[in-house]
Amino acid sequence: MTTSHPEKRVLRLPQFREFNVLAAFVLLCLFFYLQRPDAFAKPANLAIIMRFIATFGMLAIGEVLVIITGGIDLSVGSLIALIGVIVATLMLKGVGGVTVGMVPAILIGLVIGILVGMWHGFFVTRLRIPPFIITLGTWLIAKGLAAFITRGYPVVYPSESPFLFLGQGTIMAIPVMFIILVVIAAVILFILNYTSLGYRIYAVGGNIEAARLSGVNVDRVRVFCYAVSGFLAALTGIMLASRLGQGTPTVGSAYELWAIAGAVIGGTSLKGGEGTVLGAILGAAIVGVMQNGMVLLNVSSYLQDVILGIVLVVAVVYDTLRRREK
Amino acid sequence: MEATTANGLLLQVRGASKAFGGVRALDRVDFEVYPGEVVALLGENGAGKSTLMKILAGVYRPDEGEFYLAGRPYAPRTPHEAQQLGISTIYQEFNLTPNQSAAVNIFLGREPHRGGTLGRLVGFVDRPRMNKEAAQLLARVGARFKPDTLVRHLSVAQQQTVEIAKALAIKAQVIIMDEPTSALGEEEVAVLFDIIRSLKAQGIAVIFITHRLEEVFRVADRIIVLRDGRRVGTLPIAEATPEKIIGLMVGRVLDRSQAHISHARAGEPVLEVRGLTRRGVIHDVSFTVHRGEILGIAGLVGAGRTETARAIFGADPLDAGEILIEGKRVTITSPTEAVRHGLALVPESRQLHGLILISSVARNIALPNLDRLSRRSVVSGRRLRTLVTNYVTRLNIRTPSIVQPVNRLSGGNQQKVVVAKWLASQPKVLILDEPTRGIDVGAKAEVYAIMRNLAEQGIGIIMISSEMPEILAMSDRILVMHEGRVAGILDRAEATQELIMAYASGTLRLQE
Ligand SMILES: Nc1ncnc2c1ncn2[C@@H]1O[C@H](COP(=O)(O)OP(=O)(O)OP(=O)(O)O)[C@@H](O)[C@H]1O
Ligand SMILES: [Mg+2]
Repeated sequence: MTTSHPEKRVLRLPQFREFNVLAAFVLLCLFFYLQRPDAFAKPANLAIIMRFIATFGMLAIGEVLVIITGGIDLSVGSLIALIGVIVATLMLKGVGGVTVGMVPAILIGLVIGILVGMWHGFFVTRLRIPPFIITLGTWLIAKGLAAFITRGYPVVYPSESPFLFLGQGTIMAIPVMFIILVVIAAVILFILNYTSLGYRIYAVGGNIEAARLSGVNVDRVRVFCYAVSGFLAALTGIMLASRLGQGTPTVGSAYELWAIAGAVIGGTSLKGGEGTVLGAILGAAIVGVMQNGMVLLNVSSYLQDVILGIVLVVAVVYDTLRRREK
Repeated sequence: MEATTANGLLLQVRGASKAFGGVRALDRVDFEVYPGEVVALLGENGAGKSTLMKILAGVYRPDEGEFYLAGRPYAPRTPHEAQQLGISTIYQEFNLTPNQSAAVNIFLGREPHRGGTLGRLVGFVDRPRMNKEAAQLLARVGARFKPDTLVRHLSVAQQQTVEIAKALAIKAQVIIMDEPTSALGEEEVAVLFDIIRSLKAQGIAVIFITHRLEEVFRVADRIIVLRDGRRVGTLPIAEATPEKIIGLMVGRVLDRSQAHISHARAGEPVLEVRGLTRRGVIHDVSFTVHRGEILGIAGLVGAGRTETARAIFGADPLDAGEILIEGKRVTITSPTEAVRHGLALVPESRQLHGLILISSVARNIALPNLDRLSRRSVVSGRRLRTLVTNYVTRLNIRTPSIVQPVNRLSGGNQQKVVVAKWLASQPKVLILDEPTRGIDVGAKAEVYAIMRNLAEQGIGIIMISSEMPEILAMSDRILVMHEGRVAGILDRAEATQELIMAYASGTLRLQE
């Protein structure tokens, strides 16, 4: 996206906010690098950071879509665990003794994610249930189901399973997970900025009634966004199961909050109508780098949460003040 | 009560300037109000009227300028402070809480307490006293409803009187009204003007903004005109004529003849509506719009005109009735389908229903036209820009660029964006609900010209309007509604203001 792009001026509102987030990210990296020059920039550590970014970035993209339309998706953290467990169970234990191959198992997992998202969309649009409530319901259900299916124990992949490549493999030193994120981000970015669907998504979030009266099928737009969020949660669940080498019901706890935090740090407005893919990824990157950096600095895990919480509050306050100034 | 300066001024502004980014909204404007005076502030869309008023109301801070109220320097930092100092503003969007009574709203934040110091501490509201005082205030503005009526049960005009009573409660010396008549019907406007006259008699000054010139002659004592952020003149009402005022506003002579040569060439019906019913709102509404025809819909506020338009457009569900487009029966259950069948609706409330306020001019105009602007779902930036620029020029929408968020445009320019987005959709039937609300004379003429032009191209047009001159000048036929029913349909030749009012008020009925 160069400035000479003929569409750019029309298609995107100037988003200087992203530069701020980018600057904050670079400064953070610099800070951790100066603190631990020995460890931070090591290829192994960079790979860890990239996997963090891939995880939170993927989820944050889903949240951005949903939040732009004025909703929220709290289910993703548990959905990660449920899909990871389902895919592992299908591949390793099977249903009624019949196991499923890797590709079909992954596809089933992704389809379930999409269906759960559409289910949310149905409740939000047709039954007018607040998104907070319906996705919180799924959060509980998915969490319970994941534990129930596995009776609480992880389903462990054999160490030679090709499935592990997704989460553990690299291509030219770049984790596969990160590459998947880049591809997904490019697709969603394209949809949001260059297609009529993208225009409609922003319109729905900006003023749903005006969008409806402009002939936009607002229900379909919202269902789409929830479906994408469900799909991305499923994809993240599969990647994490692969990275951990197991489908486990305990993975992904509170990840929905990290994802929302990432989106908000990246400039998404919880009031709807505003938010970008780039912002979400950068916000998620800040969350990811901080988590990694604090481990490197031996910050107590309790304090880590405190610091991340403070960062979130500061970022949102800063953004709100800056916006009010205009 | 009113202290004034040596020169007798209640409010004096000298050299007020305000810029938004590169846009110079006000450029060294002088402004003055005498005690008990009614000042009409006039100017084209984007001239800076609302900006000046928002500075007085404490919403914006001026970049420069001297301000004096009753001889003392006046620099409110918040709307609250402005009210305390004596200037209250009545905005188009009222600041009332719908689920509370008129009295509660009038005294919001300043409720009288009972029970001495303890009562004050715990906030024990003295309801009887509050209601009594509210009743007195409401009587001063001629309101005929009880102070304990919930705001949501009040009409728009009544809510406006609550706002004015609220201003009186704060002991306002100056009351600012920004386009107070634009949401009112003819009769309610008359009531509002009575209120303004009585405020004047009580020594309160009123500044009011309007785009309807005839109103100026009914209440104003003096006119101040802004153009492009500068003050271009002031006229005592005795010396003012519409031509002079318009000359000052636009800086040139404008042909105001709106009457048009009837273009109804008795084309075939393009929209037929039969027995439209939405229980409790509209009953058995039937009419036909022909190709190339402008059908005006008149009626009092609340007669079901907007509801009829919304029902046709699929915005509200129908209980009974059928709709035919080009002779074919269609079912329209959503605006999406309506647009697909070639209908367009410019809604009544631009802020609530017409615009994505945080979004750009370009995106707003593009929204109903996305399918036409994109190939395989990918929006063509080039086509989009061509379309948008075309309409921005034709309607003279004042905006620094087409990517400007519409909430940064003046009210009238926002209205032009709504009109533009639907004109651009090239509909078979265009429904306009109060299309010229808040837009200036020049833009009105432009909208009328475009309507005629569309009619000549064979588009059927329905225009809902509360402005009698507009209805009479533009319509080929006039449908008058009363209490949710069609009271009468008049031909252009037989229509007069009196006849329309007779049908609208229910004194005349359509013969079966
Ligand atoms: N918040 C804002 N940000 C940027 N520009 C603004 C803002 N408010 C007003 N403007 C610009 O300042 C100019 C004056 O606007 P203003 O609202 O005062 O016009 P107005 O005389 O009230 O017009 P109208 O009759 O259409 O209501 C316009 O060009 C408008 O686009
Ligand atoms: Mg204005």
